[in-house]
Amino acid sequence: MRYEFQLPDIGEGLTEAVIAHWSIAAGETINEDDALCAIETDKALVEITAPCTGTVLEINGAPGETLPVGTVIAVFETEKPPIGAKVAPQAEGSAETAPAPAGGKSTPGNKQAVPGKAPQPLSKAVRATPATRRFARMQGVDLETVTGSGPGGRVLQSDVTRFAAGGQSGNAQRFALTPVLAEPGQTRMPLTGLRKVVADQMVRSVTMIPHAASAYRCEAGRFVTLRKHLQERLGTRISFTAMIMKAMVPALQKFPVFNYSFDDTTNEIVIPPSINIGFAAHTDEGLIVPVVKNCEQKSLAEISQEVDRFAEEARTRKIAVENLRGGTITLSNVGSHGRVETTGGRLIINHPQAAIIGISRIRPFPVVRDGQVVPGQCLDINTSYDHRIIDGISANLFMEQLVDVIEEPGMMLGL
Amino acid sequence: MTKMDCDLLVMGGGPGGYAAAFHAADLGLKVVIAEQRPTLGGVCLNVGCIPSKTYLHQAALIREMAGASAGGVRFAPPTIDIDAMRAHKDSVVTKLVTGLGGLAKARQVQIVNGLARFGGPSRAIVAGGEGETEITFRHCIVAVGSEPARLPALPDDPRILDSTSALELPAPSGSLLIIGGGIIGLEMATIYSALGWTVDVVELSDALMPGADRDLVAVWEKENHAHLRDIMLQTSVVSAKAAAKGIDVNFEGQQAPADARSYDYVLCAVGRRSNGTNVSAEAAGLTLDARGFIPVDVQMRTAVPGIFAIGDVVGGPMLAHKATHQGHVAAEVIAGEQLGDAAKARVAFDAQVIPSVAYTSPEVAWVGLTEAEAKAQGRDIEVSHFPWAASGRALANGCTNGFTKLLFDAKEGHLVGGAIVGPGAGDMIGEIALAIEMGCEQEDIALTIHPHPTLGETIGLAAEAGLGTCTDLPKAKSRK
Repeated sequence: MRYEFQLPDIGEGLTEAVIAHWSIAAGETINEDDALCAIETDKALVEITAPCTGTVLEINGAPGETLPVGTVIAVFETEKPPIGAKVAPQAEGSAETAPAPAGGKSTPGNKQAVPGKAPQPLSKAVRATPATRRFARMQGVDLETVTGSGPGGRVLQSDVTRFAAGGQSGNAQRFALTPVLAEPGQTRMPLTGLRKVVADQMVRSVTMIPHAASAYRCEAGRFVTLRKHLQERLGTRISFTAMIMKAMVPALQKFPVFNYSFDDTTNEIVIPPSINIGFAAHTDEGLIVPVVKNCEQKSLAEISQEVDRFAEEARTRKIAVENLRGGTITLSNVGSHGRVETTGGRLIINHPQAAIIGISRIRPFPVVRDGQVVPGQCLDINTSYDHRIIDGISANLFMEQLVDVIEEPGMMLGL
Repeated sequence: MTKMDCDLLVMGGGPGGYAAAFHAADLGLKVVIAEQRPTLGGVCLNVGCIPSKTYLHQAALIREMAGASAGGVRFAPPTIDIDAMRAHKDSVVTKLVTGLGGLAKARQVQIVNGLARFGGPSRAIVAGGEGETEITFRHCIVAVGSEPARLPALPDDPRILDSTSALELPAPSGSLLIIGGGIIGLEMATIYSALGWTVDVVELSDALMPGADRDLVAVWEKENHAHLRDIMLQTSVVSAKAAAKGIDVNFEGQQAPADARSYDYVLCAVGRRSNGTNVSAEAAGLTLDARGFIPVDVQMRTAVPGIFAIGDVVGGPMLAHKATHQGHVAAEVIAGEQLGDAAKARVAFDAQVIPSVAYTSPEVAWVGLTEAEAKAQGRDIEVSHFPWAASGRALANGCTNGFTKLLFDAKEGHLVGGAIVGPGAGDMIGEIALAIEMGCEQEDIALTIHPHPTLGETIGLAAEAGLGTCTDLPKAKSRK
């Protein structure tokens, strides 16, 4: 029996994925649950296993190729197709009557445009001209999720374009896209996979969120000493990242607005039930932000172990999609790479969160103590926050709380 | 058995089928149409819309000439030559379907003559006069349309007509009972009454032209009162017997005559039934619903991959213009899939409204929400009304009974429906359909300059009436 296997939707909202590599070639036999291929999606590298035991007749999608969810990526000849599977229509005809592909257009690898989800009729409530409705369909944009900027909330074609490019429509700044002029000797490469995800997310953040930022310097001598003692006594590594996360918890509990998110589609402030701190992890393909969930319920050692594990999984792109979701605030440790030392800079908020915290490397700086200039172990710490919902004063109070705990980590016992 | 292979097989060459086939061919596919008739065009061009309109045009002329004496132009009573009328109708049809054949040829769309049925999910057999042809396809569009429904109570007799045989004008004059007061029945009533026949209409429900608002139908009834003998509402035919002198019909219901009546002819116009049952749908794995319709999604896909369906056979209003629009959608989705154009493969049927027109005298046309539907749905609407009695052109043309109305969403302000009764209503309703699709508000229509003096101007005037800016009506009570 012939069974067509479609690229599955492995994460919510996933519409396309890039084939990373194939573990099998056409003509080979495979057992159910054996590795079939790897795909790169929404930040992670995910292994797809065979849905059934049988012979792989065709594979579709060269490594590096972007395919929409629902595309047939492999065709199996199998005794036992997966439960609930639709068997390919060609299966019924005998060899004689099986239709030959007309015009030679059906070569494997030929990109089949199969939409991921069954298209739905539009709700009549959406106001858009017929041309815009058609344009949105063709762009794969669900018109009902686009905010119209036209009179009476009409969705305009430009709203759809902007939405498709990653930014919500509506009040976003309108500008014409201008190309980089082609020059001899120039080469170009498409934005794909993780880099595209990062690019879209950055544009969305900067376009949608009115950023305000402030920077602070604090003495972290006791913080360093505490880390040393903890590592000795616990006999395990405790990362600075984890210590800062732990220090963020009481500050977030006292000023929870830093833990909120902003829903642009409804103009609502979203108040999460827990503190889930994401941390920026570098990979060669781009930035990944694993999330340590429920930080308020975890010990420092637990947080630290999770950070180390996620960082390693992120580097090798093996991290599970669920560990990349649900962040309520982000921590960026910009002090951990290279020799030059950052003293601050503008951080971009991880949309739809309300704030991001950045820390530099702890190193000696002259500080004034009791009227004397003395060397101090200093940490530069800064923040960008969504100025729609966080006022400058709140930001200062929140950061003051965080600085207090870093300068006197014993406060964590009392908070 | 002859064998053929194609990218797309279209079953049925009616207005939906040929439009889908031609569009797919234009987009680069190898297309075959399987058609039972010797010509393309389906019911619409061969035995429906087009031939009935040639007669309806003549009926309108007859009525207008009779009414011209009030303006000082007196015509002698017309001489009617039904053989010449029939020949004229045939020449119109021939001209149109020959033109279609030429368009198909120019696009290299191949036509296989015969009745198509599925032999599998990617295979069909077309049985025609020259034997059977087996066609394998990558995609198929089922566009086999519908046929007039028959009442089991009616005898098998040549004097029992349907919408097809009624177009053959069986006699120069006589008496005719039309069963069914819908659009088709009333169009036939218009034709036959203009030719001088005695016409009765019997309708099971409580009103003529179901689906249209009552105020429109009231105008139609007033205008046709003198032309029809009896309109029997909430009445049904209990029995019909073929006798030598005519068809003897017994009625039952609210407005049934006390005794049986004898008619020279009886026209059954009670609706149309899907032809979905004729294509061996089960061989392809397709399941029909209880009424023989093929369920489809907004892209016109059936439950079987590669098989699409459009037009009358998928249910909904059985109108050529709906089928054509759906045909274009299906052709684009299929071409998009076969040629790797992902954007095209995502198009869908997104039309908000499908206009309805009765090409009677006077014409009745409506589109979008009706007042009755708004009431049933509890939707808050604002109705702007312009009576043609206030239109200079309507006065000049002698059609002051007509009116134009527009329905706006009371909260959002955009147009959600509209209707016109009067000559040319069908030609004018397109503007209202466009305004709905474009999301127009009252002001958009009122501020669009309409040519004066025209009947179409009444659309702009209706919007002005709603805004309180219309100076062709008495000053409105202060509104906006």
